[in-house]
Amino acid sequence: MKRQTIIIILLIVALLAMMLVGCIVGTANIGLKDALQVLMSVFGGENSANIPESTYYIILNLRLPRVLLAVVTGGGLSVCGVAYQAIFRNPLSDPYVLGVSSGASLGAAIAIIIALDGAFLGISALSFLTALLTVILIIGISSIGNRLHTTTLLLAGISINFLISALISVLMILNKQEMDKIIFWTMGSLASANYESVAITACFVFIGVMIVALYARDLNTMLLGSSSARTMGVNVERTKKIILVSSTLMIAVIVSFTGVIGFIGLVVPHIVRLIVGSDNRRILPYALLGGMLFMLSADIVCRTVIPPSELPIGSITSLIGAPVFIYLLFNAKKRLNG
Amino acid sequence: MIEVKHLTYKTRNKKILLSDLNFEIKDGGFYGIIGNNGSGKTTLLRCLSNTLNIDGGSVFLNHKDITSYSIRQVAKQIAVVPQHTDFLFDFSAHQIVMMGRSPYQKRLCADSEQDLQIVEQSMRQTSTWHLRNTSVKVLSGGELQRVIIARALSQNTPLILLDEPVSNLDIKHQFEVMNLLSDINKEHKKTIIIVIHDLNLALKYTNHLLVIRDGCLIADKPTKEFLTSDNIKKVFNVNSSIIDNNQSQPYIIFQ
Repeated sequence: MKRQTIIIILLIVALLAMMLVGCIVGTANIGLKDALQVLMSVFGGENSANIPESTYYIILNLRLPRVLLAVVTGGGLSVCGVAYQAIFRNPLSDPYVLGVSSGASLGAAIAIIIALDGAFLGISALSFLTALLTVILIIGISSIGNRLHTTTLLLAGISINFLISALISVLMILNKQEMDKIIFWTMGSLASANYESVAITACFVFIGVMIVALYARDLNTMLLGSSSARTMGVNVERTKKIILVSSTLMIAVIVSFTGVIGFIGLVVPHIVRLIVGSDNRRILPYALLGGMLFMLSADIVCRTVIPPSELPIGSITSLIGAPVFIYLLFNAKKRLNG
Repeated sequence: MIEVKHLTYKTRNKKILLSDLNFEIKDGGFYGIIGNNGSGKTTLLRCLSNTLNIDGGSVFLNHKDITSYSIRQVAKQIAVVPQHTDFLFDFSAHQIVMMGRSPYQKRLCADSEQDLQIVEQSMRQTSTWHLRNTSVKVLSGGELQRVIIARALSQNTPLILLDEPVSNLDIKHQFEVMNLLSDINKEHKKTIIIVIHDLNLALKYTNHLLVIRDGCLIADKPTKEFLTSDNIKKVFNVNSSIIDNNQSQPYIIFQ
């Protein structure tokens, strides 16, 4: 068997094992055997009389949806990172660093205030709108001629992040009664997971990942520059639009259910690139599985280290992500200095 | 192959970079584009490959307006070796050359047996096969240029455009690359258009020159006919004499 196939299989096994761990650990102690039995009941197994009703409830209605949401959103965010890095031709760009995730959270906050949260996908729709506006703004600020410059791109991202957190603070103060709800989107959490949110995000992530996979070869070629890619038969402008819109849609839907969780789109693709190189066709499956595993592990850590309370998941991902970002920044500096 | 009629190109602030160019590129020729820095050579090359949208006139590729082709169709006719290629991401030489196959590949399909064969052939032809697993980030200038030319070859086009492919190379690699292009031109019957500064290389390798000054085409002549001391003085404002003893290659000496 090829080395790559083995790694993929190992990742899938690790992911399944981690999902099982996610169902077992937590404030209430549940044994492995009980957990397996409860999980088997989903696939038509008999309910066992020895296991209390509450165990069923905890696993099937609290832990399993949360585990699934972590898997879906982690994979989605990681693939978004791959897409952004290819489109911006910059290993430092991800939706969080560029302020697109914050842009989506601003939309969510506005949706809460104008009471759109009752409507189906109301929050997601507004998140998508503000996230897309943020992307357009970023490109507008940082493109000089046909090129996007690393420094201006990062500066644009940072300033937009500042601007949006200021706007959200103002919104919270003006709408004190909704403060608790809005704060959820700025912190990021998987605690509100249910099967509905899992199903909706899974749909959007599936479509988004498929689109990125369809264009993976074009994204490779585009890393050599727009006009080079064009001479090799890639419709660069169309590809850029399709990828940016579909990956931004993924981010917006994810943020509208989990809030802003940073750095996954930066850390996972970076580690994957170290192992498999820059070919986006190869990166994609690893980034997807890696993102799932990373987010799931981070969530398990954040809800088990200080029971019964939880750490915000963003603090775990940033704890790992920020150093990787700084390391990449150092590398970029070295390259500029020759 | 290519026919250019009244080609005009302006920048966004209406500065005219190319004005009313008319010429024809014939099958199998080895064309050189020469002219001072900033005269519009690179712009012309980009107009010919349809990577810039022209403001007036038309470029005809095989008797059809180039804008009526899809981007993919143009990529099957014209390959381009740009002046610079940025490698911000780590690709192996083989992966770069394989990118030349993209106009022929379908989405989600792996590289076909034929793609692999053509890539190997192009890499062997440019003596880069031994570098196939090397990262392009660590290649030398000459090696990199040959890899990019291999990529253009794997695109399997009747026409190859090159923008100053030898300007950054040492003398040995200059000849290596030019000999390679000459082979491609003669043996594979590919038409070559090259932007070049070195008039002696132009004299040795090209058979036709397009001379650009301030965005205008001031000469469209066979190389040997054009390169005289008078013309060099007129275009470049440099005194020179041409040594031609009928035994070896004629040579231009600048004074």
